[in-house]
Amino acid sequence: MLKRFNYTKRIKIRQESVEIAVREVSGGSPIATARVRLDEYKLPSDAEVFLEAYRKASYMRKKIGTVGSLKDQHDCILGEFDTPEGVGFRLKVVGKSEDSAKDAPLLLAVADRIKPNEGENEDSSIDKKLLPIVSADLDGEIWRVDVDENNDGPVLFIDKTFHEERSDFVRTGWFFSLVIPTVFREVLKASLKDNYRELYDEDWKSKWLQYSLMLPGEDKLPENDDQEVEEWVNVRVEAFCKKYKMHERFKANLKGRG
Amino acid sequence: MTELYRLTDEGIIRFQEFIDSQSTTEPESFDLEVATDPRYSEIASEDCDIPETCSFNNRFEAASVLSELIRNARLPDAAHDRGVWCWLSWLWFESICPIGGDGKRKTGEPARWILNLDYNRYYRHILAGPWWIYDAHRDDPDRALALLCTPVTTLGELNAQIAGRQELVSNSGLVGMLTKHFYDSVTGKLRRGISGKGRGSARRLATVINQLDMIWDLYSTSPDEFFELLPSEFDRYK
Repeated sequence: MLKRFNYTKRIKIRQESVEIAVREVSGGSPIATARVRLDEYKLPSDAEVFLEAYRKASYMRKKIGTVGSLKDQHDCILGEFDTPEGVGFRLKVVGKSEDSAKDAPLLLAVADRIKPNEGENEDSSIDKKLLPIVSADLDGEIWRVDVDENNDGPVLFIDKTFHEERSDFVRTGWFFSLVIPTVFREVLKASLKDNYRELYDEDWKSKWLQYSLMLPGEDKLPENDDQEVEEWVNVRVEAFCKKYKMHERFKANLKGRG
Repeated sequence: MTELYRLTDEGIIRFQEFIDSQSTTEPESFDLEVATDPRYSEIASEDCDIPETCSFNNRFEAASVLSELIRNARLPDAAHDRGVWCWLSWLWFESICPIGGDGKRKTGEPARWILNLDYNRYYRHILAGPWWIYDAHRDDPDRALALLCTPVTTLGELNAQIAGRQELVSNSGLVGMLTKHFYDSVTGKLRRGISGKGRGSARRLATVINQLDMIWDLYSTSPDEFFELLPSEFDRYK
């Protein structure tokens, strides 16, 4: 693990201090509603607060006030995003540096990788927060899983041709039984890469590893051994397939009932 | 030409096949008629003023003309109108990508011609890429000269490092700093060294920006403040 330095005493804002809900608007851009509570952090009241929204290389940001003037909630039109899926948020509190010779605005506090609250995905085994489904131009491909190891974790892209029905599409027996286990395998491998074995971090790798251990049959992570990792991942994917009855789903589709 | 068209899905497939054929032993001949063939294109806007060829000195000039064209066309979502951008690159294909001395065209990757709407590939389109940057700085387009000073056919290392990330390319402090310090207004080109790989290069700059982003609020940083944050390896661009 890389050692991280924090010379500027930047404060880490806890995820619980920032609640974000996103709603789709018919014919318009999605709207994010943010509720931010910063009382406990001892930040200067004139420090500016910015909300940033991002998805891969797309980005926008809005000033929502100063620490001392925050309202109960703030609505932000997500004009850079056509759909809300996979949009992550970052909250930045910005002020002047007291002991730096530089004039640039200093980050006083940050909450990163905030995922919006949303209803649980009842019909799917993998929570939307863990695996956002996003429509994109895949130029001939129907689906693609993109694992951004350094940032926000995996996203399941579905070609924009299937934009309207992408959630239904993912739940069909064919897609679910043939594709989702592959996605699961790929994401688990990425989660364990570089000997990552943390179960209690707030990042996506930790959450996926926690999820995998909630499946029957294993209660610990593999050692740092390539063969053991491969076997462990295989066993986790098998458990996943059994739990969600992949054989039955596939057979039902073969018989035209799925 | 007064009518702006967009390539239909069939037209885009036709374009893709044409591009693919250029790397084969039997490259397809370019057929400008496709641009107005109803099998492959449809009218997107009328009463436009569209140059017949692409004879711009650099990406900035192209973006400036495209900006006016797109504004006059009143397209509801020009940035994502893939068919329009594909049509424009088809219309100007012959002037942008003529047959070389060896009898072949150097088309490069398809994303240069067929717009890919992923933001981290969008900038590679030969026309939409510069227009997008220009549009992000429409309050003062000259600010983006460092990213738009190369010929239409040349993307350059600085663009490769910056233009694929929207939070960077739309950051007026960063882009203003690039133009102020890395662009030579006398020659109209980037200063020497920025396109390399070593110290003080665009690649190093991208790495440094990632580090600074952990400490400073780069989005509200002015060009001068931004430059002040850079390590000494960039002092030669003062």
